[in-house]
Amino acid sequence: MSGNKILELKNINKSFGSRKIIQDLNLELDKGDILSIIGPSGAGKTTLLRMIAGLETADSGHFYHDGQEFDPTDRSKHVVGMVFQDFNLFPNLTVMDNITLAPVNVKGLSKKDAEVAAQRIIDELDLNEVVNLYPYQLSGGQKQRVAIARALEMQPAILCYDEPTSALDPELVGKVKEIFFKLKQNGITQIVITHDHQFGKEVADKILEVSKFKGEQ
Amino acid sequence: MINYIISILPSLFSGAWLTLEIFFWTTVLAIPLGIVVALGLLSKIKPLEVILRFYIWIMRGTPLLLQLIFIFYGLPTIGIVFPRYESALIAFVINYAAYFAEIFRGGLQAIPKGQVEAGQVLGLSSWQRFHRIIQPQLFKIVLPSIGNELINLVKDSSLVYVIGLWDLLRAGNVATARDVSLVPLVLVGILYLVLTGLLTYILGVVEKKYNVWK
Repeated sequence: MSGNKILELKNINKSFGSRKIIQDLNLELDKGDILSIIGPSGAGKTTLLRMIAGLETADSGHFYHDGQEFDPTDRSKHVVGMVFQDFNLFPNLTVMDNITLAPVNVKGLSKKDAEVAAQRIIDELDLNEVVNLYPYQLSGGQKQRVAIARALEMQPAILCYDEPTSALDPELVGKVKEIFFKLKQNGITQIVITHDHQFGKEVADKILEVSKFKGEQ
Repeated sequence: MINYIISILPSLFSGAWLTLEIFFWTTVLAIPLGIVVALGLLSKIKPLEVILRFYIWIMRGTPLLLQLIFIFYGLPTIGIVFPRYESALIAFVINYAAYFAEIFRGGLQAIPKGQVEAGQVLGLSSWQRFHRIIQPQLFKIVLPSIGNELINLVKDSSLVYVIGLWDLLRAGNVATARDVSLVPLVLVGILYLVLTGLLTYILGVVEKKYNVWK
């Protein structure tokens, strides 16, 4: 639907006990936008991302996807994918199985179909050489690309990254940027929280500075 | 000598068979029960946690021998009667499940929470997360400790002599008393070593299988 925002947050509030983490936050993203959320530690960046990914619930407020209100904890529509800071790859599964686990178990694809479907993203993220390896055999950059591939195989409209550059060598940051722009071209909306202001500003279309207790766009 | 050994072997083997039966059923029943108890301990449901803690305290804090005697000789005094074999199984299963539960609880706590969250975001159901992500990692973590307990179990099974079951040790003991010979007890020792040796080998193979990933 044209004109509808891919993601809209209205009046989001979140407290832990008496500590207000996020207060009346509003946010709008279009398809293909890249949003950087920057701000000091403890400002609620991670909490906000986790709420969008449905890993925390907001105390109040509304989430909209494509003009329709949605509950991020309801995974049936696969609106949001997530790339964790330490990737959280499943150590007991090969790269291919990490990527195809959800398509097989959640979407009901056969293993073979899931592998065929995964090939495009495996090519795109340059993972062909590692598909049969286990996560412990991968470098940091490879782990991150597997985590991205794993999330993308569920075709989320929005992909969230928690500190995508923190576990990487500086020379790999450029590669991450390339991936961001490639996914943007594919129409994926991306939200990234980062301590790295320069990286955050270079990739972003929009920047959300989260100061203590309050988000201002 | 050889003839004597051959003459007592059938009785020792029948005792060893009972030992194996108790080992098998205790393993098959107490491991799943231990996982369920461990999940209960971590469920954050306070009353359930209190009950399970109490159960584990009793099971680990009193001798297995007492538990066997309690179930077979004690419970009938209040009208609850189990046959010998069933009494032994009940005692072994609830006793070992308590130890397994503590091992599994530690194992579950060692798995990073992020593993579960990654599964959640991907849309995996809680059963799929447990079955495909948690359980393989859990087994790898607990395997050495569970292996220790299983080797103990082979030897602990000899306690069933106290309620009159014909296990390996009892078979040897009876033959030694009857024939005034050390040979049956030596054979019993050898049979236990074979059983625990075999078990150690199998555990090693399983452990190796889990070693392909870290």
